[in-house]
Amino acid sequence: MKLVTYSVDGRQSVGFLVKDQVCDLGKAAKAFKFDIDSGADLVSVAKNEYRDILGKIEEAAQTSLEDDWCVPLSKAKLHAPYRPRQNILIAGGNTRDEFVPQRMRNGKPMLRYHTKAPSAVIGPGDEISWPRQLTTEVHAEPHLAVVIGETASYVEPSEVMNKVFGFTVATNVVAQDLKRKHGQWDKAVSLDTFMPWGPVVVTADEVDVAELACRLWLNERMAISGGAESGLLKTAEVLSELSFGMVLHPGDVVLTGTAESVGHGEVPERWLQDGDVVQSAIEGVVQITNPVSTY
Amino acid sequence: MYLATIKNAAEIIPAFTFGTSVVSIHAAAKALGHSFASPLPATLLEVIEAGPDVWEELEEFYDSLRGSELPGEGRQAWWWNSDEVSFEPPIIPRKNPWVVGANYYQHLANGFARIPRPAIAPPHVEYFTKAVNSIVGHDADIVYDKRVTRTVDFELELAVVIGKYGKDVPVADAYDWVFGYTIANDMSARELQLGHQQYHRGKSLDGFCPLGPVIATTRETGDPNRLRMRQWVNGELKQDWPVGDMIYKIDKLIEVLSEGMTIEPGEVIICGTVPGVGFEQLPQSWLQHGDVLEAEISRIGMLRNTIKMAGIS
Repeated sequence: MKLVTYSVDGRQSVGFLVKDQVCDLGKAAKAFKFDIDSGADLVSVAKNEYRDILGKIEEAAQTSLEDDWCVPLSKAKLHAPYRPRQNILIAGGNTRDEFVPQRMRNGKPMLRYHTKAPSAVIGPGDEISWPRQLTTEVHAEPHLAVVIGETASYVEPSEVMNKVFGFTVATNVVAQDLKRKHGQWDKAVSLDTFMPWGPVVVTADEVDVAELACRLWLNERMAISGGAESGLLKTAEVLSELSFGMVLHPGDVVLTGTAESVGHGEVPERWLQDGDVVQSAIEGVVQITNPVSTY
Repeated sequence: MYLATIKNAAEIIPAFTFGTSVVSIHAAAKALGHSFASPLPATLLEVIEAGPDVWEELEEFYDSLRGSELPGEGRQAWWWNSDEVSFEPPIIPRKNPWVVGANYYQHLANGFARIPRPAIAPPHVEYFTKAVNSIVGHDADIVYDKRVTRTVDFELELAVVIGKYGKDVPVADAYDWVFGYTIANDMSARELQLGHQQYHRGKSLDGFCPLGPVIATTRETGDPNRLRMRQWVNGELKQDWPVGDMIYKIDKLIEVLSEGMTIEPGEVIICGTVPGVGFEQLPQSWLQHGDVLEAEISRIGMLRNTIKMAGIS
């Protein structure tokens, strides 16, 4: 199922995509007599306990789209899926890039886990924006964003993907000079507007993570490209490691690392600037485009 | 006023505290026929989000109770002794608490005594975060798993609770953004903190952000730089230092954090620890199953937690 948070005529609700239509989940559930509280954004249904019921609603909708709960996608405004209830986790340095050496523990690289404040969340089309006097070295990375659907605590890699609700794309916007300035990275990735993500969350049953490609285009030129699992640790290894000691709850979001670093590895360095357009995608699944504007 | 969130008979409610007395705000208002201009929100976080008019009304109600007599007939349903209720974290913020690394020079100097280079103050504020999921309240057990860490350490810190939205807050006005203060123990799994280099995971294991027991509003604390902080482990004094000895003071921390980033009501900034933690000792010493932490800041209160190792009852 492909879920979105969307609005028509200013009224926001949770929807799912069927062909070129977006369907109101709450109204569809009611029409087909399913009991689900769809809330105002999709975090309320991003729970594995709803897997079966969501599947049934989608199946029923395939054959009977009704005008009173479906609109053409072109008439709907799509938003960020939701604002997570705690910071977004980022598997920093999950790359084979030689610029980011990792320490090892028990034969495994120790990734640079850091976080992004949920106040940074924006949706498709929204401006990525920052004060020019604060930072001049902003770059963007495409990430696979994992939406947790079920409480996960001490879960082995072989089991942990069962705790995932779905996937989407996030653009991890980073002020590279603020990373150096503050030493710890959380502030450098948490400026307002630095978390474009979504809009479509695709449920885990529809994709095979190993097959996914993660890409970023800067002004329609492909700048970053690679497998979503081309990093040092696979998605399941990242989630499992985090779950050992750090409980994950439904709605928590993990960015599992970018394919290849860009910007600070290039000579000459190319930082984002006014008028740029950034597009990130999980190829064939979801993409998000945001213009850049400084102030 | 002093504000807490307590659990009484499975109900989680906001409360006033007066020394060791704990009063349910909603139940007291109802019993005494006290009305507010608009219905009081259900949680302390929402009270903070409701803004200064609501805080003022609440403070008037607090003051009207302050002088009154201790529990009498009919009060048992909303007025307790603090050992009769359990304390939840005063608030669960809507983003991770920010923590400032290396913000007291002597802590920094002690910590790096064994490293053959001079300890220098960080050139800028070092902010990391602790997961919202890691927040626990007063008297909660902090349970670690030895598969994950064997180097659990304590760090007593002042926690600032922000009262209103702000971005690019000027340092001269920064204290206007403070709602109040509470106590945090910035629990740390040192091998994870240092091994991952970014501190988040080593600082965010389950239970690693004890917070509370109360929020003291700025009226109660006065100038926070004049407060003193002390921490005992199993009754032995380990940390004892003036709050105001920070390298980057509270107003500067707010100014820099809000550069390009909106700070919000209920946002928590934890200001860094003072000398005396296990990491600084020769040899280094780590917390063990059964250790009791008592973290005190004058004019705020004392936050007590017990260390447990998973698998030991």
